[in-house]
Amino acid sequence: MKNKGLGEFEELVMLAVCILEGHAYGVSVKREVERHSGRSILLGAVHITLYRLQDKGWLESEMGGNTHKRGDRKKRLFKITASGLKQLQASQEVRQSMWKLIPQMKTSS
Amino acid sequence: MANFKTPKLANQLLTRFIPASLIEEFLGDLQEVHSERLESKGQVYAWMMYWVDTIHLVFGFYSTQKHNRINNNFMIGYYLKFAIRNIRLNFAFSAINIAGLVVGLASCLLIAQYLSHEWSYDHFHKDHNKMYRVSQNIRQGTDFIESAQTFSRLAYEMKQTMPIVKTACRLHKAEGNITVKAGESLFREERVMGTDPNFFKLFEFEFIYGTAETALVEPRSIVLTQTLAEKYFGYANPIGKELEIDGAYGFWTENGYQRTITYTITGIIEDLPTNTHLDFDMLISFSLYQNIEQELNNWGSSFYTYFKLNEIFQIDLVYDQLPIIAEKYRPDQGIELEIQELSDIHLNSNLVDEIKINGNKKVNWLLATVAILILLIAGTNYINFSTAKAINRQKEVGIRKIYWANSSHLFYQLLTEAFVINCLLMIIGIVLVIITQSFLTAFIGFDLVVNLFNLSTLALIVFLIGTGTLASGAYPAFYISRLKPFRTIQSNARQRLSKATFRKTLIVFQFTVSILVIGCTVILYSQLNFMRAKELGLDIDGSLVINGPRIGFDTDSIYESSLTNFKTEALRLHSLGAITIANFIPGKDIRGRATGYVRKVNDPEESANTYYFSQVDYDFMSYFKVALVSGRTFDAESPSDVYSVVINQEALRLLGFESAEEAIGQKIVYRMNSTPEIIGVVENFHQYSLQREFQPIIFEVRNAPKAYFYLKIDDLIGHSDIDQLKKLWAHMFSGNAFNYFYLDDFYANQYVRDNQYMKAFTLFSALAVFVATMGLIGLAYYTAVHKVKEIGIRKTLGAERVDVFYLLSRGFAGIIVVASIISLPLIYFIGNSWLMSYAFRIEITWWMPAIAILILICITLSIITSQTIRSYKMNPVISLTKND
Repeated sequence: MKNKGLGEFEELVMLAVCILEGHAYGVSVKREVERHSGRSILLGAVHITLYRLQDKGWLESEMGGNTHKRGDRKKRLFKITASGLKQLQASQEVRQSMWKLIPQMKTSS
Repeated sequence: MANFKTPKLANQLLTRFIPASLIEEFLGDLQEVHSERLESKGQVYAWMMYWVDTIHLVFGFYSTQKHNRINNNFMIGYYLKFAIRNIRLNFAFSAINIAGLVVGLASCLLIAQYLSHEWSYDHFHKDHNKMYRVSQNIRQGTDFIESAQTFSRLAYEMKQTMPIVKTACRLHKAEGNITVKAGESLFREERVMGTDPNFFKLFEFEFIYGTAETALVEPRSIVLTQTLAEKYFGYANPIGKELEIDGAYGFWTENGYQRTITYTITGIIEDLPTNTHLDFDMLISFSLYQNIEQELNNWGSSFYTYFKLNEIFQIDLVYDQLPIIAEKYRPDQGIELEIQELSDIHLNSNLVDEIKINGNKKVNWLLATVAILILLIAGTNYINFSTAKAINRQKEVGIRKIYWANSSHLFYQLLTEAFVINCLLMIIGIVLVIITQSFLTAFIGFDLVVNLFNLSTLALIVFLIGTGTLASGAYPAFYISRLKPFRTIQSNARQRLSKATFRKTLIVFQFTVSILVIGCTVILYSQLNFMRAKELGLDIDGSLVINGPRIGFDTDSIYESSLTNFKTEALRLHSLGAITIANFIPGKDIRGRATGYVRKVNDPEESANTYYFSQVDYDFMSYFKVALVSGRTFDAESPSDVYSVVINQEALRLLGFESAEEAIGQKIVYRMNSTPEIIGVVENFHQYSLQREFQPIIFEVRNAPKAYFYLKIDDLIGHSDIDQLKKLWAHMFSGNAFNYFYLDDFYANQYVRDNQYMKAFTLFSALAVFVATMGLIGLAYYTAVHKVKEIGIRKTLGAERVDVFYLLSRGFAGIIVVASIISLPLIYFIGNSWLMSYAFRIEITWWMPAIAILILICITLSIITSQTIRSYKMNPVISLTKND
């Protein structure tokens, strides 16, 4: 199961959840990913990814506080799980080890 | 809160499609983003993005939700199982559904195939979009004759003066009696054309032997199609072999006119595909003439001129040049040149002198419409039944809902059911098509062959299944899946189907279409009947036609004496009544055409129109019973008649005479600078199909015209008489093939297309009515079943059959009235627009749509009657105690 199915976007979302530490919900994750990656993302994409990651057991969630801005609706706050963290680290390691194997970075022309 | 208002409809959509457990956070997040956007980017942007997000969420959620479902594979199997069970449970309904939709799909397949063939004409040339034909409008009084043929100089001039024209090529129909001598055998050929040596630079045909570059270049070279080559030489390579051809083309030598020429075969091409407007199996190169241009210039306007451009956008430049060429070579004749796209000719061109009978775009569209209508009716049946059936299924649906199913489950279940049925009947439909296509092709007469392994056919099949499933399944699925569970399982609180109006609308639609197609078929049929029964003004019944002799008469006097002998001998046969000879035949355009000079002697040249001229012998008028209006016809006793003419009424009108009497004794400017006297005026007759107006014809008399021998025969003519004729022929005109046919058949040949169309329409409108009838049967059956208790009670209380009949038929009268009212103007409109293409046509009268309505009423009545008898026979005890 190692590293199976952790796509690039999924990785970004998980990282954003880690960064936000307890304040991660749809909108904040969207904002975070947009800020770091510099691209604009649809809310739905974030939601779908969050749920998929939760189904895989890498994230967990609970319903959290409401604000006036949301029309007094609750938000679902996501947290990373132990296996999720492991997954994230594993994927990081794979990259690291591969980077190390590149002898020299030469860009042609 | 007013600041953060979100689009209501979008929210409803979300609530509908996204599980309630998730809806709060989704809406919250959406609103939060929305409020930010409102502040930063303005209302419009925010509103739009809200919708984008909503739609994205709905779709995205659905696509990922599959992963959340417990066992999707199991579900599909389950849907399938129930689909099949439901078909079996409601076998009568399903059978009607299936029969209707099968017929609908099969008709669609057949018609689509036929139409795609019709639309593919001449598309096989790689450069077809750069290829064109020039047509010519010749002034005729205030009108124009639109002819597909032009004068020879045109192609030459286009090639010479317009660099944008890559190639220009002439094609010429070699008419008359062409006899081909291959080895020792004689053949008579019809489909021979002459063309420029560059023919294959313009048109692309596949060569079996020889090459496109060299095929027609050498003098006296000839190209055959495969079939013809096999007819002459079997399967051997015939390149370099020689053919002696008489009567096609010839030229003057010092020994007189040479009409028999030996050609060398330089190429064999594959048989012409069926989807080309060209029609030949032998091509003779004009390179047989030493000076092509000089020779062809004398042939008048008898050439099909084709050209190919370097680039497609240059066509406007050609348009600008054409009037200049017309003015240069045909001054003061009122000629206009027009351009037709090559691939357009089959469907959009119906000019005089077409190479072969072209298709009719209007009819094709009508056929396409009928195909779609049939499918719609079939789909309508399905919708009707499924919603009607829904009552019976309410309990099932209710229980499902209580246990586990939400509306999307049910939606998919019902859609799967529709899909299974559609696939099933597509298979049956294809089998049906395969079984019937050869029969249908024979019946209708044009190709209705479906090639199953063709990509476009497969695409069509997939498309039909897809749309069929959606059209027939989506509404019932949507409808049933919304039923409220608690009310459905309460046994005595049946949910009334509030959609009765919807179903009634569908039936009105079916009835309208049925009346429409029957009505149109009746009109079509009446017009064809009218054309067949119309007095032609020319008695063509009981005439045997022999193609006149061409070989072996060096002088006219030898021919004349052989002819006299032949006539005398032939008339001794008891079954022969009379003989006449003419150089034209009814049912085919008269070839001789005098353009731009025929007029009254004292009229200015500008008033000249175009006339057809023909040569007949002294017996022609009496033989064909052509009625005389004024003056007299040709008389063998009066030698000066050779220098006179007889004209018909149309010619009389165009020449500008007030009355027939006035014309007698007048002189006209005529061919070869002669000024013959008009000695008689005859009535117009339908020389050509009734699609055309009467043509102005000028008759000349000859002792012995050639081309066509007409022999009046009686019913008693048998093989022995024909054999005797043949012997006589061989004796008098040795070396000439004996080729005969019947004039009425030949004349009727002009209506082949119309007949085909009529058969196709009769067939497909019958199918449409069949499908609609199926629907009606189903619905009447359903009504009867639904009212079985009511009928039981009424019967117990003393109701008669009539009462039951009334009960069952109540709704239909109104439906028929509404459908009739809607369809009447449509029938008039469609019928008239079709009839417009005939110069001689019927009026649409009241009884034509009336027949259609009557047929429909009969069908409806018989169905309701049979249902009445059925339900009335039922024992009330059984029907009332029956628990459902």
